[in-house]
Amino acid sequence: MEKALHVTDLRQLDRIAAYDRVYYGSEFCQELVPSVDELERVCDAAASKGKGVTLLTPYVTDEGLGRLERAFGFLARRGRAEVVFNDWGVFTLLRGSYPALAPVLGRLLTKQQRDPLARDVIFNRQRPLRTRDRRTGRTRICFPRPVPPTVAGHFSASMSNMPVFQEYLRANGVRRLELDNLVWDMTVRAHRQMGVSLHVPFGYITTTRMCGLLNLTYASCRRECRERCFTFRDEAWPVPLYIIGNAVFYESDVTPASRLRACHVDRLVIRPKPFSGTRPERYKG
Amino acid sequence: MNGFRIAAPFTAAAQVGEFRKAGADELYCGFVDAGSEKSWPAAFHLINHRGGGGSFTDPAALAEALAEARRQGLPVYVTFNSCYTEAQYRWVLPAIERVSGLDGCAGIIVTDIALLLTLRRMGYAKPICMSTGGTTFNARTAGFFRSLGVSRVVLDRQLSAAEIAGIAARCGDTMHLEIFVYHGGCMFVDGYCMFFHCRDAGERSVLGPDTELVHRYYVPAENHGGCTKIDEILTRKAFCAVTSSGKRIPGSRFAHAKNKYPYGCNLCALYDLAGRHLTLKVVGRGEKRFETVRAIARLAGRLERGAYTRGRYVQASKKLFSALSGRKCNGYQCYYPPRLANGGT
Repeated sequence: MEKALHVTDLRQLDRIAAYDRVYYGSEFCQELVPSVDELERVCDAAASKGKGVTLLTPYVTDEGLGRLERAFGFLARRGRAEVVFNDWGVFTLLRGSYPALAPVLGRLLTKQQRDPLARDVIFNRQRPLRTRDRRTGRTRICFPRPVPPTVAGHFSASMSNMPVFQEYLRANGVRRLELDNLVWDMTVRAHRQMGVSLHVPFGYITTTRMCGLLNLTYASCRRECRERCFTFRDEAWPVPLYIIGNAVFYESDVTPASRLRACHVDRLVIRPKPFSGTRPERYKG
Repeated sequence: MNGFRIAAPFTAAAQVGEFRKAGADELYCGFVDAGSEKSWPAAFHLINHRGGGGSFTDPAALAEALAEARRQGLPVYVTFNSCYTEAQYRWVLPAIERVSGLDGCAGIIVTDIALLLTLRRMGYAKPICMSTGGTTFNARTAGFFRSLGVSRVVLDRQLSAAEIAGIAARCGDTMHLEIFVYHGGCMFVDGYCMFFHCRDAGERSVLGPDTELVHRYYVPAENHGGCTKIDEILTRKAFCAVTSSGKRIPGSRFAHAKNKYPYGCNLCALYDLAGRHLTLKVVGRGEKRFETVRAIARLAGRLERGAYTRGRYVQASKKLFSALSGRKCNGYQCYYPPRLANGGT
C-alpha cells in the first residue's frame, strides 16, 4: 500500500519521509497552479528522499492551459512525474504534448455520488417531520417515501466502473484513477492494470469559480484560501463540512482500512486538516 | 439574428406552437418512464438532471410532441444528461434507441463519457450534444468531445463573455456552441457538483382542517439542493472560520450580503457575442418560458438590427432581467458576474 502526502503548505515537505509520494497543486483552482519555483522545491525535496511526485491540476480556461504548460514543461524536463487531470482539455494536452508525464484521472471526473447528506435518505433512515406553516397555521406532517434499494446501489458505484471507460483510459495511457472515500459502501471495479488512489479524509462535494461568494468577500480572487477556511456542522450532514478556497469538502467518518482490498485501493492520498500547522496528522490507513 | 438561435425547454405538444411563435428555433426535453421511475426516481436526478416534473413520462405523449415539433419545423434534442452506473444501462440504451427512432428527434444531449464511448461503439448516428455537465471551460475540451463524436457543446455557465468568445474563436466551424442565457443560475459548477439534489412535490392528503400529510423522498423540503443549503449556512453564519495561524473566528464576524446569489442571466454578454453563431439556451424544463423566449428573441433581434450602443444595450438587458425575474439587477445575478471573475476577465 502506497501512502502519499497531499502537501498544502511547502513547510510540510519536512515531513515527507514517512510517505512514498508527494502530491502538490490544486484540483479546483487555476489561480493556484504552482509556479516553476514552487515545483522545483517540491521536486528537489521529493528527489532528496527518493519520493515520487504527483501534480494535481484543476479545470482550466484557455488561459489556465497556458499556465499548466509551463508546469508540465518543467516536470517533463525533470523526468518522470504523474499529473492528475480534472479537465478533458488538460488530458488532451498531456496526451498530445507531454508523453513523459503519466496522466491520472482525477476525482472530479469519476462522478462518484458523494454528498453525506444523502446517507439517511438512500438508506431509508429518515424520520417523519412535523412542521407548522407560520403563515397559515397549518400543521404538516411529512413522512419519508421508501427509496428503492437500486438508488443506494447507484450511490455506491460510479461511471468510472464502466469497462468501456477504463478501456479508453488505458488505451490513452491512463493507468490510475483517484477516488473519494465515501460515507457509505463503495463498489469499485477496476481493471487489474488500473491503480486506484483513495483520498482521505477529505472528499470533495462541489466547486465554483465564484469563490468570492463562497468566502463572503464578494470579489474576485484575493487568495483568501491561503488565509482561512470555513468549517461547520449542521444537522443535515452526518459529518463535518469544510469550505476550503473554492471547494466544499466533507470529512469522511469511514476508515479506509475497511475498504482497501474490496475497492482495489493501492494508494492512500492523505491531506492534512486545513491550517492544522505544518505537521500533517498521522493517519492510520 | 446575429447567428443566435434560441433553444427552449418544453414538456407538452401543446407548447410547441407557442414556443415557435415566441421565436424559439429549437426545443429540448427530458424523458423518464415507469421503468426508470421504479428503480431511479426522477426526483433524485439520476436519469436526467432536472428532477421530478421536468420530463415527459409517457412515451406516446413524447412521440406526439416530437411529431408536432417536426410539423412546426422545430428540431428537438432529448436529454439523457446524468452520469450512469452499469445497472442503469439496461434502461438508458433502449430508451435512447427508442427516442432516437421517433419522428422529430433531432439528437440527444449527454454528459456521461462512458455513455458517449458506448454510443460511438454502437455506431449511434444522430447528432450528440454535450451538456453543460461536460464542464467545457476551454476549446481543447470541446475538441476532445468532437473526437468522441459530439457535434455541439453547451459551455459551462461560469465563463465570462471574453472567455466564451475565445472558445468560439478557437473552435471556429468545428463545433457548434451553446450557452445558457437565462435562468438556472447556481453558485457551483454544474458538472462537478455532487451535492445531493431532490425535487419531489410528494403525495399529499388532508388529515383534518388544520393538518396535512405529505409523503416525499426528502423529508425536509420538496426541492432541495446542497447549494441552497450552503447559502443558508452562510446566511445564518452558522460556521467557524479557521485562519492560517490556527485562530478560530465565529461566523458572526462575517458579513453575508443578501441578494447576491446568481439567478442566472447572460443577457448583457450577448453584445460581445454577436456574430458567433451561438445557441442561447433558456433554462427551466417544467416551467412555461414563453414570455422569456419572446422577450429574448425581441432583444436579440434588435441587437442584430444595430439598434443599440453598448450602454443602451446593457440598460435594455437589465430592464428585461428585472421584468422577467421580478428583481433589480445588482450585478451579482449573472451566471458568472464580472465582479467575481478571476483574472479580471
